[in-house]
Amino acid sequence: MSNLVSKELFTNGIDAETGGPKDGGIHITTELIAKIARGQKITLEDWTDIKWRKNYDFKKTPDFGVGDGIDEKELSQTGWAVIFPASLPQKSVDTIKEALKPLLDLRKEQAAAVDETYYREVIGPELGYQNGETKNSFLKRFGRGPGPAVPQDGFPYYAMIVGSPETIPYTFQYQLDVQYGVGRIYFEKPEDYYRYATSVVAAETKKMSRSKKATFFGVANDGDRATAMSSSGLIQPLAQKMQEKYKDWAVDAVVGEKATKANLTNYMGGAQTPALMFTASHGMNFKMNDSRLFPHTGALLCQDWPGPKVRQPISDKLYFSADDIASDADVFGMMAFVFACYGGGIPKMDNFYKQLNIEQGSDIAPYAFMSQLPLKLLSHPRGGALGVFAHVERAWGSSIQWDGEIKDTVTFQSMIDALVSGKPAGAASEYFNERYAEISTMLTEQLQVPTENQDDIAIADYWTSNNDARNYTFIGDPAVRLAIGDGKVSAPKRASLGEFVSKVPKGVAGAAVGFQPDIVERTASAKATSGGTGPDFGLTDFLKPKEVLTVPAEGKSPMVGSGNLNDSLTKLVSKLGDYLSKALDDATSLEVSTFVADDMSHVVYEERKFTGAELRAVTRISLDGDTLVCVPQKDGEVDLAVWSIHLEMVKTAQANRAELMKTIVGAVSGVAGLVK
Amino acid sequence: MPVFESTVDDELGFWASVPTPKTVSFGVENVSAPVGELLYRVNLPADATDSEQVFNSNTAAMQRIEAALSEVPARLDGLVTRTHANLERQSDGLSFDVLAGSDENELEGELLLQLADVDMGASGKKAAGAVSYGIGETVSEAWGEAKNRFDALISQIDRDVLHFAWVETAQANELIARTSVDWSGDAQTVWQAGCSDVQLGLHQRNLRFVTQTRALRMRLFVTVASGAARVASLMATPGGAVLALPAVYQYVSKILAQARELQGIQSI
Repeated sequence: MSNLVSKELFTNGIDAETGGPKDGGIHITTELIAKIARGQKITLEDWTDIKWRKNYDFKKTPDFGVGDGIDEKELSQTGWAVIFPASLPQKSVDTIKEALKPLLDLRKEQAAAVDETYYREVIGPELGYQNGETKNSFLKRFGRGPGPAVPQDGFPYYAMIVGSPETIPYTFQYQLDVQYGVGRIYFEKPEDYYRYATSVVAAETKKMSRSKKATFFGVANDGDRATAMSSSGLIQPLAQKMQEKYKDWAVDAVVGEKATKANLTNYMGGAQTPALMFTASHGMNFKMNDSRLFPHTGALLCQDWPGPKVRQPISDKLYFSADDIASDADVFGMMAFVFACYGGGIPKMDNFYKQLNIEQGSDIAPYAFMSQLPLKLLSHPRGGALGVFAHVERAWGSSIQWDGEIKDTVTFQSMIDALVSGKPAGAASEYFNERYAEISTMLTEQLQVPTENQDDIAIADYWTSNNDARNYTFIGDPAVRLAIGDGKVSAPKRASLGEFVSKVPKGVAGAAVGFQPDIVERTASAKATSGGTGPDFGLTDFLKPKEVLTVPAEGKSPMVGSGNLNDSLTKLVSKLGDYLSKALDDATSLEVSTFVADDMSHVVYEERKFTGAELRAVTRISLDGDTLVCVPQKDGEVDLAVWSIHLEMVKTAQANRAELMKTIVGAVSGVAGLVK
Repeated sequence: MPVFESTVDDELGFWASVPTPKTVSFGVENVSAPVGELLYRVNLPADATDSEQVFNSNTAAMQRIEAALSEVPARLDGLVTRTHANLERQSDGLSFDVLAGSDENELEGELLLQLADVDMGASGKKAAGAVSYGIGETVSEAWGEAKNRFDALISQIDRDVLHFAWVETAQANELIARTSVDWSGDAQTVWQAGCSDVQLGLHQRNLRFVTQTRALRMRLFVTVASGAARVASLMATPGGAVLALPAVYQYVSKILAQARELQGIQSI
């Protein structure tokens, strides 16, 4: 154990209800994280990837991710793939493919220019992503193991995942992203796919661009060390570097008091919208039953928030969400980097709690989902943004400040440099993957030191930095690049794109009704869980506790208002659980009594005992093996007739109890899953 | 004629339902089963062989019910697989459009229709072909009826688990023995002095039969619960498994009824 004092760490998540940190009750200290890190099991697969990546990065510069000699700016060399879930219904597959057709055609033209195998559609029951696949098992199907992406050997470098994080998990994305350029899109409406696809195509083929302008938006809420750090340690240095390095770029640093929601609206679709937008702030987090969970998770908490010392619920007036993107917003061609907790999405289970082995309260969402703000930007009907780099789960401030002192912005700066130089987003994000690989190795090495010599603070820093670097994801096609031009494309001209991107083909528009975006319908679930929709008077209302439907069809009696099925199931499971608990407590003994009565009509049952009959034998069997037996006697001898009866009754009682408990255990396990 | 009576409404059909008596009869007027506790009583023929035959018959019936229940998971799995395959083939159909051309037999077909109704009702969409009615009628009536029956099953299980069972065996209206079994399995039995080994055996068989009935009811419940989970993938509605429970219960009940009919089994 280090003799250094433990220090508290800061994350960029704020709970809307309390106005306090996401981790309200828990002090996240280096000591705590170090414990988690020590308990963290790194799989062989993870370790192999990390070693590969680290060795590879060490050997070569300046390119990484792709194999030697491959230019990651050239899709004809890198290849490009699109990955769908294998079990997505065929109808949905067809609809999404049609909606994405402009983009798929473009990528095919680019990637298959030299070798047609460089363009891959990983779609369908056999080829698509199979449920539960890891990155390695996935790539194995294409003849690839760990190592750099070499498309001619099996799989292209750029891979666009089309699917929700519940169906194609974030963990798969993280793993694949270690060596490949990965992005993800997932929309609930087919027209949104079309809008995004046509926006990307317009940016690349119609020479529609934005002027060279970058904005760095850094919130620093009063009394909040996390945003103070991100503002001074990330946003301001990045803005300064950008100004110094790229003289032909207009750079705005919107920090401190200027970083208000109203001002952000100007930069996110308003008159000041840049080609490259970089924000650092807290990301909003909501409780499971909060109606804002689905629409506003990851929304950007602005300077309007008075800070953590004013513990008050946070309203949507203080944060910028997808709802704040105006219908006439000019976001086409923009690329954004969102440094905020949950800015990119949220897993179902809180990783931190999970690793802490705190099961209760570890679910933070009904299922993993992507934050709406980036998706709204990408699918805007007037022309969408090209992509958003954003963080899944918590964003940790310790990544900015390395080793307690160094303001480490090199990774961020390198990514910006890569984008400005024309590299596609998937390649630009490799700096985070390189950092992830390096820190993972450092973390592992630190954990290999005998425990008594381990440095808690170093472990905690490595662990948080490791997760931070890993959890940056790109939302969009990883092959997109900044659409920057000479500024001659006016805003009105860009606005005319609306007509183009929203001219949804009939086949796509026609499929909108009943469109199932995922392998199962989750949208309604999220909204139902969060209360996001109004009453539909449907059956889902039966699932709401203690409610009786009273709104019938006109002229009809109320729908089955006799109670709540889920509620009664829950109560039953609870009761069965109680039974088991009591039975286990009482299983320390089983008591069987045998009475004999000359005249049954005189037998009375009072206070759970028979009277009016002679108690002839009692057996009490304890769990520890002790057995109390009262043997019946007759004329000084054991009454064998009664004793025989009694023994039979003991056997019967034992069998009955065993059978009852067995069936109850079966019932509890059978039904518990239904009412979770 | 032997009489198997119980204060429990026995969905399985082995015990005839009787109101909870203040006094348990068989000529033992002053011995009362505790009010609210579950009474199971059987009055067997005077002839021991006939009495044994009664139990043999019921035990065989129970085994057939068990066999029918054990087939349910496979039948539902098959239904789910076939329906998914059909849905994939009919690429232009919505989730349950396939029903129109379904080749499923009557029971499975009915189940699919019920699930479709529930699904459409829950999602606020009208069922395929349901032009003149929506959730207000389709769901409130059919689903409501099924739900009430399922609620009754839950209630029975609730009582089965947490209450005493009061088990009486009589032969030709003469009480042989009475056993009180509490929820933890502790048992007190009072025997008529001088009862024979055969009578001893009859009461023990009765006790086993009561236990088996309770276990089978629990198994019915588990089968329905797991069946609902199986067919939930056919539903687009969140919480589909819970919503499917009444429909699956109805489906399973009909299978059990068929089993009884096919085997010529009658409740006694």
